[in-house]
Amino acid sequence: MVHKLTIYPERKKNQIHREIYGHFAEHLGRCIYGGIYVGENSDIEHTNGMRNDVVEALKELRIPVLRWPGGCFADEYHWRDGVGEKKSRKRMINTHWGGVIEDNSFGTHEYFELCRQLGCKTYINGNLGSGTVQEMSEWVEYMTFDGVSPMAQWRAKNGHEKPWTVDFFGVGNENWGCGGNMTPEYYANEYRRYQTYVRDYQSGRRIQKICGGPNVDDYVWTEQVLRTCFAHPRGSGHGFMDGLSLHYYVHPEGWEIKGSATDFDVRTWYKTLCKALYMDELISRHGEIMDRYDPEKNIAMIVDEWGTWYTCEPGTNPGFLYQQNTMRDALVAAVTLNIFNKHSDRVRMANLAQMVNVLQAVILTEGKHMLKTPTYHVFHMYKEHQGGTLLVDELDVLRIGPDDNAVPNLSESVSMDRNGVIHATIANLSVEEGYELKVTLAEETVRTASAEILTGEMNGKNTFDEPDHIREEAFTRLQVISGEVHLCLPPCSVVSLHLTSGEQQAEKK
Amino acid sequence: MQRREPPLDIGRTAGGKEVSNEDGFTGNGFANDGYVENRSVEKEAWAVEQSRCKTCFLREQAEADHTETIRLYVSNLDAEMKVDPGEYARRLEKCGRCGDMSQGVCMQCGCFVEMRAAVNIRHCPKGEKCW
Repeated sequence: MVHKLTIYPERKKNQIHREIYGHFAEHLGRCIYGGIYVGENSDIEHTNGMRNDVVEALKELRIPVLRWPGGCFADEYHWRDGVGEKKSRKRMINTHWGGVIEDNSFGTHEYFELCRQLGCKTYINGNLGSGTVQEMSEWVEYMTFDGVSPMAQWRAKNGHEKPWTVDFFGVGNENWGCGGNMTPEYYANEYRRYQTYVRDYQSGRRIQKICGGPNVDDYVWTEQVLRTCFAHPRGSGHGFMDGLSLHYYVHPEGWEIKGSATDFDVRTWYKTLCKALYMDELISRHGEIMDRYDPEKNIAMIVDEWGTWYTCEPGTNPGFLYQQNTMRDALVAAVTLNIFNKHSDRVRMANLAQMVNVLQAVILTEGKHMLKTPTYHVFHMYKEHQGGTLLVDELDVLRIGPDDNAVPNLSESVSMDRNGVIHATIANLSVEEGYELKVTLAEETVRTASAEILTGEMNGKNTFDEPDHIREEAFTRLQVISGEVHLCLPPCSVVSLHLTSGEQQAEKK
Repeated sequence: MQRREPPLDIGRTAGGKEVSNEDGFTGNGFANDGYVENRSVEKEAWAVEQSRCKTCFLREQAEADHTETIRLYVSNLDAEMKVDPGEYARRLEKCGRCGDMSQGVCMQCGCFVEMRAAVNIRHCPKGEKCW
């Protein structure tokens, strides 16, 4: 059977916001410390304490935005502890993650330096759970006020005279759980109060305020938070928020015993992908509730924690959430990013958990060594979607896998960039089967086609001994014949296809 | 990310079979001491150090389940995978003097050092010349 993908270049939908390809770095395990920040006295090559190897690799992904400092850590983080002379910064135990000492050597100034090096937007998550309105308000003042004020003067005294730009500000994190165990009504009222004092000090710039949304399928939370935020005649047209967050993790065998990152069978492969595909239903159903309050889609859905979560690597601190990354993770990333693209009229930011050394990381480090995971390569292959225009497409698929965890054999999304180049990302979810695929452009012909591929055995991974076992490669098993692209998708693969259209019939490429 | 206590059966496989070798280990619930309230930075640092000595191995800490975890892990390692006692002691002696160890965890790799050092094919994440 030959599958057919039809792309409609003239049926343009919305823009795919770059921030869908965003990342998340928490003070957790070795994400920040050791993975990104090694300090100014490290033997590892660095620039102002940031590992050069990691920053360079991340820049290749065109990181659009980075969320920090948490996560659960955010609702216990007191920003004043992380500014000023490093030797006098408070030392404390990170009670959430691993119980190791947090010396606050990475704080506000270091975060903005990292974002400067990455060239990305900033997303600060404030402390509503255990912080005060004043603390949150003064943090915003410290970061963004340009003029004479106590906070701005303190910032200057600490070495940064000019204000930074805060693009996004999260008002609390998971306040249904680790952020205070609040009810939705209580949180929403607190949100309304706290966000009032997240002020815009810079003319022409608005801080995008993100309200704490639901965990997985807690539709009651979404409904009641929105109802409370939209209540009262003085309420703004968008419920005092620019975004509402959603968190969803894939743990194949459930929360208590999540399952190994590398040692799994075919049944677990499909179970994992089935759980990843659940993201589509979550976005749709939470989106339906948002549509009732915000039919114009002014409020973005921000999936600011997503990814796989397995049992930690044997012998490592369980609180560090360090896990390996295989082709299974690559497929989870591929299908999830395709879902985000297709829902990009509502989903306008997403942040993979997490950037380095934690959960579904794109980079792992061990001492001075660094490797790019299969997930890294998917983000690299999908980067052409950033800022593109979503196109309508049609793809015929088969249901494969066990009956209780059946999945479509193929997943795809298509966009057009500003130069008119069409980018299609296609994932083959089958462990055993390859598929022939014919790609056509409605009412147009394909002039040129090129592609990259990521493929390997289902539990194939990169290690510090073999860091390039799974890597992106040029894909040559495709032909342009009579204005159509014919390609053979190997099992367990992700392909990024780039097409230009034209009236001329193309020769075999 | 919702904070949860590390599951007690973190070392079990998906099927519930307990493993006690390189495939996994039995984890533990960390007794979190929490933020240490003190008026001065020096006192805070002192209090933290008192409650969790940065250079302690797991066996020197209060949580008995750490000790048992290590004992089981090391004792169940296949003989051909295990370093000899002399080499084990040499490795741990170096770890004990390393500034990258915190509460028995190597901050360069995230491993419990007493477990990592027991495996002959493993080496110090800072370089093989160390061990």
